[in-house]
Amino acid sequence: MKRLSQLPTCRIDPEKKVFITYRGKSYQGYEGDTVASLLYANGIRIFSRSLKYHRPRGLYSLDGECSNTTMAIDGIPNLRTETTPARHGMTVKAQNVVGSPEFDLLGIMDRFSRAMPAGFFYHMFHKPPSLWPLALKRIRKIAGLGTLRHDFVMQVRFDEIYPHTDLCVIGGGPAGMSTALAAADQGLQVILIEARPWLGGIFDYRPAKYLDGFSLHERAGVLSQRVTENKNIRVFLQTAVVGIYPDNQITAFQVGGRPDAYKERYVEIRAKSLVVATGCLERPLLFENNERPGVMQVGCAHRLARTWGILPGKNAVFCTGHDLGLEAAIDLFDLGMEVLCVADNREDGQDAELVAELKKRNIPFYRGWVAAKVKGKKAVKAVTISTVSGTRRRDIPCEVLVASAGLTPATGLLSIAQCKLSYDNHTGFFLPVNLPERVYASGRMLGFHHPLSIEISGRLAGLNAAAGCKETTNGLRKEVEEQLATLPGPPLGSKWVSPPGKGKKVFICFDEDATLQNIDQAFSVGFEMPELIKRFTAAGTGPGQGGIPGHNLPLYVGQSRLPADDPPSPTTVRPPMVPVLLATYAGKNLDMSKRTPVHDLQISSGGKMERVGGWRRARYFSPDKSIREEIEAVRTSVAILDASTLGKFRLHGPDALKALQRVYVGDMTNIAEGKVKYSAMCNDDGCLIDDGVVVQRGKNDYFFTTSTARAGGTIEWIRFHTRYDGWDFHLVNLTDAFGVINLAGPKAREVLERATDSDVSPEAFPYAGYRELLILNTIPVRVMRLGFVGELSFELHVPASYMITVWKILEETGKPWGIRNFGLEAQNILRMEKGHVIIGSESEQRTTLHDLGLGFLWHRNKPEAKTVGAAALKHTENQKGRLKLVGFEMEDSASAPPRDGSIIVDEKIRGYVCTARYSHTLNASVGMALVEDRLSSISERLAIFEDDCNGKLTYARVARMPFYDPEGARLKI
Amino acid sequence: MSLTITCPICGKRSGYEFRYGGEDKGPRPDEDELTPEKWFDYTHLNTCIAGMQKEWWCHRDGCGTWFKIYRDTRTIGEVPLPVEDKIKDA
Amino acid sequence: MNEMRRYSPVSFEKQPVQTELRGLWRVALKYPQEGEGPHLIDLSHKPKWDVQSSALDTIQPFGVEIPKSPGRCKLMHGRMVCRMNATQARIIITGQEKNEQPNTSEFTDITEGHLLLALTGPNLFSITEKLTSLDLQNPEKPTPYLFQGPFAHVPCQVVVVKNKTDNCLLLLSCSRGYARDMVDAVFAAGKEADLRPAGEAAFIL
Repeated sequence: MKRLSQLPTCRIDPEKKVFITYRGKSYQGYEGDTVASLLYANGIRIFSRSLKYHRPRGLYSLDGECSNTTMAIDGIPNLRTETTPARHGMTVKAQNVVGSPEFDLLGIMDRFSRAMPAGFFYHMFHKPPSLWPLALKRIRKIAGLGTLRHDFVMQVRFDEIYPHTDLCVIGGGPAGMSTALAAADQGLQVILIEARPWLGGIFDYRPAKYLDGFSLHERAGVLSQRVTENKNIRVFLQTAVVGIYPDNQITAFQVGGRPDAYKERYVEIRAKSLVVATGCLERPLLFENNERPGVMQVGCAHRLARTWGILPGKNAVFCTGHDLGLEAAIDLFDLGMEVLCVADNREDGQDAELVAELKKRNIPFYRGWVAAKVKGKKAVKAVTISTVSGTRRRDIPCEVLVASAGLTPATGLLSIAQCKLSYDNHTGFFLPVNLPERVYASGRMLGFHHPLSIEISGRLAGLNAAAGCKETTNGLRKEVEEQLATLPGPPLGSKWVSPPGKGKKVFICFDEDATLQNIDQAFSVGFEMPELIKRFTAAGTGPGQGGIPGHNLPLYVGQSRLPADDPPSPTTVRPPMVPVLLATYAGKNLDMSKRTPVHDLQISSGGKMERVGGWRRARYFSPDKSIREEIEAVRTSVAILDASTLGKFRLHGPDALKALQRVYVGDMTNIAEGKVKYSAMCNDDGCLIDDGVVVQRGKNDYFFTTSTARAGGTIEWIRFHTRYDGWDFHLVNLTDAFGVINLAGPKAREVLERATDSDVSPEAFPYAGYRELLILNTIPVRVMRLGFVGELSFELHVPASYMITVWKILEETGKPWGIRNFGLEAQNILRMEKGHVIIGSESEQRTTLHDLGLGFLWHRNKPEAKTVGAAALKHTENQKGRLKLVGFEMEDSASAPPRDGSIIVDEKIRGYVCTARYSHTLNASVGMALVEDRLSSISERLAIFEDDCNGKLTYARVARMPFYDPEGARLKI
Repeated sequence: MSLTITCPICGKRSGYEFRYGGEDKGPRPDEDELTPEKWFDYTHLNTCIAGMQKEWWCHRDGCGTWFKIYRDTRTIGEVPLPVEDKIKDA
Repeated sequence: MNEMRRYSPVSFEKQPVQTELRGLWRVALKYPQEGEGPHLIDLSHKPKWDVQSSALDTIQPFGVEIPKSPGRCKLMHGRMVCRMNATQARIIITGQEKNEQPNTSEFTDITEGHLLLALTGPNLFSITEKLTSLDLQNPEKPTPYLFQGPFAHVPCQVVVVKNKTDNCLLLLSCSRGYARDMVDAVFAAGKEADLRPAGEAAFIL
């Protein structure tokens, strides 16, 4: 097709060709094309098939207000081709068709529309439930939109951005631009958001005259240049607003252009003030077959020609209710399209000049006439127009029907912003009343039509917004208000809704295939509120978010059901205003994790890293996940574990001890110098949430450790539980400041001895001791003698920047004993053999200290501390029927350990396995389980049910813990 | 995403930065008086008012402060602290 | 035997062309092709102190008075003192670090626990607004100003030292463990603005 690319309004670049693939064929367009304009220029008229009836659908609004033109592009389904820029090499596929959009085998569904009235699903599948599989398997396949391949991977980048501004203006038309300029002149920082790839809005494509011989198009250019050059205004083009939330938080997404590093980016704006200047939509004209390909709105036809250089067809009939329709008819005629006639549903009120221009061109003009029916199966063949009363009719063969009932304000975003809308009898618009604080509206959505009125109303909103941001603009505001009063106000609007003589296929909502007949069915079963009818018929609930049924639905309900004096009320719009890719919400999708200071050393030593909470840690050090060598090294020689993720804190200040007494269940007074105190924290239910050791380093000065998982919440926890006390204590999170090395095994002392001059002999540094010493006379480390894994072990707290150095020193001094790494899994088995619990493995949120056999940690004689959990520990101390922690050994020594989490059963579930492993040290499968207290005595038989065991239970006996070194002799060597 | 909380240190911030700390129930009761019933009431029983609620929040991702605000549970949004409370809490 | 060294949590892909041994730190002074900025500079070796006291007003860390209101910062003698809340402040030794050790119990050395980055150059806010919803450019906040809040989803402390569009300087600090992911996130966000690694020599307050 020859494109009218020489038009000054045209947005395609005829020098730059773009090819896309559709149905295996290559189609040519130009840079600046949307996918829809490119396909239309290549003769594609049917873009999709409708949801239920598989009716052919084509271009209608050009702004993606319905799912008519959604397609799958490069594997991503449900994209709105009218707003998607065509890019070279794209592959486009039609959706919801069996065959092709032109020959859809399911097109037959249209004949069964009678079998699918409104509420069809509710009625049909209410009972019996056996019908549900039919609904799920068959009907869902027939009715639907695009499908996403389950193995599809987004190859493109997404981004996110969180700008702050004084004023956010939504809509880059003449009103929005005037608003932005007026506010920027007052010194406000302004963000202007426009959904299309350029500014200009309703002025952009129109050659009609503005002032002083300039066209509206030229005026749009002037405004747009001013806006772009203004340093206080930041413009976001191709950005669709998705939601507006309290405090003027605006969410949107921007489609990236070619030079941008992202495909789409999520935009979240915080603004002091907000101006909505989204203009108007065309209210769809309702008549039989009102959505046949070839029926399109005035703006669609006009912009196809003016913006994309495509004449919609050879000839057209216009059925309109607004002067923009007359203007478009004249302009398209002048561009070379045959205009067969113009019907206007208004009896009068038209711009006399436009009527004269029609006459000059011999275009028949029918006042008080509308479209009643379109003929043709897959495309418009002819249109029946009739008087509004339906008394006279005429058939006119044509290719295109340009149809619109009139204008209606694009109030969706105002509704989302919690603005009340009220029906206005003059314009037929829903106009904002009670705008929320610091939210304003301007331009055509207030009913203005005259170009100057639109601009000045925009200016006024800009000044009002500036006043909302505490700039003083009072004098100027008054002046502009007066100026606006002298300009033409909103013209009388068309109220036309119901077609003359009702048909069966008058679609009020394209997305959901909802017809006027469906609305009438809703009336007949008793629904009279638009909100309820919307839900019953699904009208307005599709991807277009009510763009098509929008105001027609409440107006139709108003005209059909309401008493004459009752004004109609619009349905509520909710975010997302437009469909958004989930990937866009995910944005950059940053995966932020923590690494220990020896992360790289762990990997180079063969560590298989895993996410543990926020950290990356090594679970194994052998490719086959066998941890036998790691365990043997700890039990017989020496090995090192990177335990840097442990929580570490400094607590100081006059009331430090009070804080410790509040959160730890033990008695924290008199922690001996050079000793560690092991204790636990419970929640108010007496359930274990953390354990660790506390060291007193000076007067009112403590150093304590927490489990990895609790490190992040510890300060918050202590502050929370002392929030009413006003105590004077201070906490410093030193978790990342120290790396931790667990040097464990019977040879650990020998290794440490060679790295320090300090005396680490059993006499000088006994079990549960704490020392601060220097490694190689230089590096200060804090060392605790602990025994989590059941062997002699030193926990070295090393300043993080020295960690690599100390690690390498120990690898060096440990060489004679074959020192090696051990990982989390080895530690898990070692500590289990020793009967030590890991919070979250051996406990869940109902597990008290008593249940774990750790009740001895609770010091009951400190009521003055009001210890968190103490009351509950008292109440649950002898409570019956609780799950208790026990050790167990499999009866059949050859049997594999049950999986963690397997349940323990008799006729009911009696508990579950916490951790169970094969122990190389003991040569047996052992584990720990939480079981009902009556099953907790030694030698009790436990029946274990595993997933997929096919009813074949395995058996274990409750065994005494610890399994390994019950006397604890090995800790003390 | 729209909830904002005003931290007394950092000012108005996105609600995501905070942790909720429950209704303002007053200081911990004496341990000796805590019968299981009283313990339960203090620990688990909430007023769940439909209206102004005085409650604790922690600026977890910011300055770490625990503080009280008033929130209207019907609109979700924060409401300004009455003057007398400001004086009392200060 | 191994070399006695202290290591920053950050290493850039490029190797520095000029370094200096300072104590046991090897400090990168210059990277190849640093360009005109914006720059990302690793300052993790700079000493940092936490000071907490219920009588903060009576303490003058390194001779600098602690600002009264939270967020306010004071830069003097190469020491940046940031008020964090009613009882807490942070000191960053931005100048030539001497081996100062405040002796009173209110101070905690937190050098080891934190990543410290400087972002300098023009249009930094076009990078930071991709990573945080904090209003770092807020003209109502007098520079230098401390923001405490999420940056790349991680709780951070950001000192806005200069906030002019053509001349910005931020000090960004977070837990050391996040260092690598944080640097990656900042570089990814700064790609369009041509953010490059630079040595300590490019850090001019």
